[in-house]
Parts: sequence; C-alpha cells; structure tokens
Amino acid sequence: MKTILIVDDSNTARTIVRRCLEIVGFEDAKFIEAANGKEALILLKRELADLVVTDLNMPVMDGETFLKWVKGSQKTHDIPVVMISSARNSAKERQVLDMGALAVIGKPISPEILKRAIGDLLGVEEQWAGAAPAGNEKEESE
Amino acid sequence: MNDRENRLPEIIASAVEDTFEEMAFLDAFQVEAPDDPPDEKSLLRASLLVHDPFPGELFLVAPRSLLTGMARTLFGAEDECIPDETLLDLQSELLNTIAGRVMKEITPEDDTFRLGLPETGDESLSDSEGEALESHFNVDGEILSMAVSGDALIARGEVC
Repeated sequence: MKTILIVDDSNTARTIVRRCLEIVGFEDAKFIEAANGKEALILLKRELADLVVTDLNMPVMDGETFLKWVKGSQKTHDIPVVMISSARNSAKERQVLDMGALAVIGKPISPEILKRAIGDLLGVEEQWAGAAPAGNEKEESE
Repeated sequence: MNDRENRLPEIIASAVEDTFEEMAFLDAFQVEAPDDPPDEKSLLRASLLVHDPFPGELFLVAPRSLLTGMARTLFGAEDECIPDETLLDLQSELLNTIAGRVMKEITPEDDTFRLGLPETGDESLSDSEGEALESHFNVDGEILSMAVSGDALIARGEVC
C-alpha cells in the first residue's frame, strides 16, 4: 500500500486532491495530510511517503521551502513531489522543476491532469507518450 | 485611466465560470447587479491580496446556502448544518483558484505574480478603498459577487 502525503492549508483543496488520487488509481493508498510545509516535514520524519502532493502558497512554510527541505535530505530526496498552485506561471514552474519537483499543475486540479503528472508512478506509461511533462505543458482549460 | 475598454470584467467572468464548472460541476453566468440587496447575514466573504506585479485585492461574496450545497457535494456531508469554518475554507479555495486564473491571464508570459493568502471577514465590497470593479454571477440560482480593487490591478485590464 502506498502512502501519500497531501499538503495544503485548505481542507477543501486536500479533499479534492485526495478524491482525484483515488479516482486515478490510489483508492487503496494511505493518505496523510498536513496544513503547511512545516507540519509535513514533521510527518515525513515519522513516516516516509511514496508520493507528496503539495500546494505552493501556504502559511508558516510554503511549498517551495518545503520542497527544498525534502530534496535536501538524503532520507527524503527520492520522494516524488508534485506541486499544485493557483499562482501558476512559467518562471515559477521552471524554478521548482529545477529544484526537483516532478511536475507543477494548476488549480483546480482534475483526475486527468493529475494522472498525466504522476503517470509513471502508476505504471501508466502511455500517459507520457507524445506528451510534454505535465509541468511544462499548457492545459487546455487555461 | 484612459478610455480604452477594460478587459478585467471579461477575464474575471471567464475565471469564475471555469472554476465553478471544474470544481463543482456548476454553471455560472454573469448577470446584472440584483435590484434588491441580499440579506447581509446570508452572505460569506473572502478577500485575497495581489502583491505583485499589479497590487490590488479581489473579493468574493457568496450566499451561505450556495456554499453549503457545494460543501455537501464535495465532502459527502449529510449534516443539516455545515460549520462556517468549512464553508469559508471552500470559499477561500474558490477565490484562490479564480485569482490565480485571472492573474495568469493578465500577467505577461515569464513574469512572476505573487498572491497573498485568502482571508475571510465581514468587510463588504463597498468598504474597499478607491475604485472597485464589481461583477455578479448566477450560480445554481443564487447570486454571488466578485470585486477587484487597486488602481494598478484595474489599470492592467486596460492594457492586457
């Protein structure tokens, strides 16, 4: 069973992410949740996750700082991190992708967009075929 | 300000329509300001500061009943009464998503924009300082209002 950490200061946003993950194939996963990066780091010390899905804009510790901590630690360096943001733009996307994020996706997320971002983790190789990485693509809805 | 048409209301309308459709499968369409002001006690308010590159503020005022219906669907809650905390969290997330879409549309490619965190409170739209652009939407038979304030943010709508 995979453990997935969802990090967002909004309970609404965490619920939407969890629903989307369940729809794309993680219905049996164990979900753990944190309201900001600092809380998330505390949870990761107790239990490693197979995937992290985090918001960028949060109080206390934002997603970018959290990503730096995750990628800077030998223990957590290899955990795939998907960033979600309402404040999505090319410069910021490049920055967090360079820092090691797996993908950056815009709000509101949908199962299709999330599946494309984490396709290889699900073993859904065709999700990547002929498509740019989710962090670099232009979504039709935007 | 010049006489050029301001595209901000159109951009906001598109962001509101897309956000409600994608987050809640609800149709939202722009309407004229209602003749009769709604009961203030039936409304919940959220605001969000835009820090860069065009400082300003966005406001979302929504009927509690609309948010309650959305929360029931989203959280699968069957309770008669859903706490305001849950409704305000949902409202804040809606505003956050709408603001991101609006800013992405008006910010030059490769430029960075920075949003504050949503805040909830009792300020009415008319309490904002200076000029404010207001727009109103019918969502599931109920009226919600959006407003934008801040000279730099409003002026951006005339050039983008």
